[in-house]
Amino acid sequence: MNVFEPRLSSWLENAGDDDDVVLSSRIRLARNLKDEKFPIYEQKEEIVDQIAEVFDDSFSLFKMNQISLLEKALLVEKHLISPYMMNKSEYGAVLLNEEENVSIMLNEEDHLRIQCMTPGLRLFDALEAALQIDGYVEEKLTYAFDKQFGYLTSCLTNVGTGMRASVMVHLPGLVTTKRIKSVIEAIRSLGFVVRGIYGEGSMPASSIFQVSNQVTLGKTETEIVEDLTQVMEQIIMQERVARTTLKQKFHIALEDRVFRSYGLLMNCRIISMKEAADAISDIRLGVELGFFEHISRQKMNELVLFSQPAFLRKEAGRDMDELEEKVIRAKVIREILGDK
Amino acid sequence: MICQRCGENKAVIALQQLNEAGKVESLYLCENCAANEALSSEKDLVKAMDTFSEVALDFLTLLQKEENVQKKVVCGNCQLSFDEFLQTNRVGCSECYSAFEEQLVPIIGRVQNGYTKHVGKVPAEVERAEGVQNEISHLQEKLALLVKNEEFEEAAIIRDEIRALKAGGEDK
Repeated sequence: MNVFEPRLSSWLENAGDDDDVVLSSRIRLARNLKDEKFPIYEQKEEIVDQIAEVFDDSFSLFKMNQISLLEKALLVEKHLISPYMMNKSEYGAVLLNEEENVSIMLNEEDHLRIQCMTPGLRLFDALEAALQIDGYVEEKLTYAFDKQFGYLTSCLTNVGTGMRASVMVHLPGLVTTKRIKSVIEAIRSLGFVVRGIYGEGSMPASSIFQVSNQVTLGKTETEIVEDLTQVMEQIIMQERVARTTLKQKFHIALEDRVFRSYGLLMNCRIISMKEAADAISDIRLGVELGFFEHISRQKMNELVLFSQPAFLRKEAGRDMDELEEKVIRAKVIREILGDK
Repeated sequence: MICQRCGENKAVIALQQLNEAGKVESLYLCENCAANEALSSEKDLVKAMDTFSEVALDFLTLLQKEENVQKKVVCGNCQLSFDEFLQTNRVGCSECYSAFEEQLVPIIGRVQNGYTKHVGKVPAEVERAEGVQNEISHLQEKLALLVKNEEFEEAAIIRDEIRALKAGGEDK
């Protein structure tokens, strides 16, 4: 399995619904084994083996104490494991399928975190995939479940369905027209949470946001997914309106900004992650507005993924200091963008 | 110590009285008997009142201790205390939910927009078990009716069905 090679996971490579705005959808189910202490207080290596046994050869198991720090960081940058798993979970492990659209974290905050990803706005497909895996596991192992509180999780914010449905969106139109703040407030008032791309606590970067459900109890899985899909459809519509407005009213200014960013990425020799991410966001908008015919959406995803610290170290085959990282980043970006 | 008057309840008060010989004598009484004693004897009333306020004070302290014990409630399975939970906001095992139920329900309500009852997916095993339980109750009702109507042959069949269902449940 070449999960550590620089290639896109299937959910970033393929096209999905509404993918001019939505990058990906994700469903996460938190589950724990009955009678076992939760891994946040006590991690048992045998639990990993016990759960891994349920899965067939289509899944590969990676144990955190058997892979390098660089490999862990690559998995974080691919969104296949959490930063928590990388830093804190000694006996943590992850099960990945070949397409990398299913990631099952073991011994994270809960015994199991089943995650299914799809390109575009396809929460129902992701839910179906996650429930199928969940059903498969519960035939072999007994989950911690209570009639009143549902699936029991270490954190009370996950109890019930144990489900977090989230959608990654690119909203440069709403950011540029300064409407993003009121949109985020409206999303929050509907019971959904807006975060930066690396989840809880992270800063929003380069107009990319993650919208997910706050409540996991008192609603069914389907209701949560339906509600979130509806909210997302509203946001997508508003983002499209904002983009059209920008294109009509400020066409030359917008074109100028997009092509300046293109010029920057094509010519710079030293670039930080933040500067690169902002420029990539501009070019992504340019691609959606039809300014570039030769650049695909997939290429944008490659730029984002491969310009991150761990991928640069993987590409160079060695560790490096901050300046060198910026130099290699500039080089990698030029190569990807120039490669037609 | 058992009450020296009724000989039944636990004595909570030592009533000091002068006996005929002029010596101080302690009489150990339960709350009821002490109250009766106090009411029946005018001259001992004040003394009894004093004793009562002492008892009341003890009782209050006891209540406070109870409350402290409650704050120090510990999960019997994973030994996590509620205090420790408050520090991390993470429970230690599935049993914590019943150990801390009283304390957790309001917190769950707060973080879950007021919801405290799961309505989503149920594990297949739980669903099956519920199905079997429902079937057993249904058959038990039927059995009772058959016995009442003295249809014993039919009742024996139902009885065996119930046994089989219960045995099936135990296997799992």
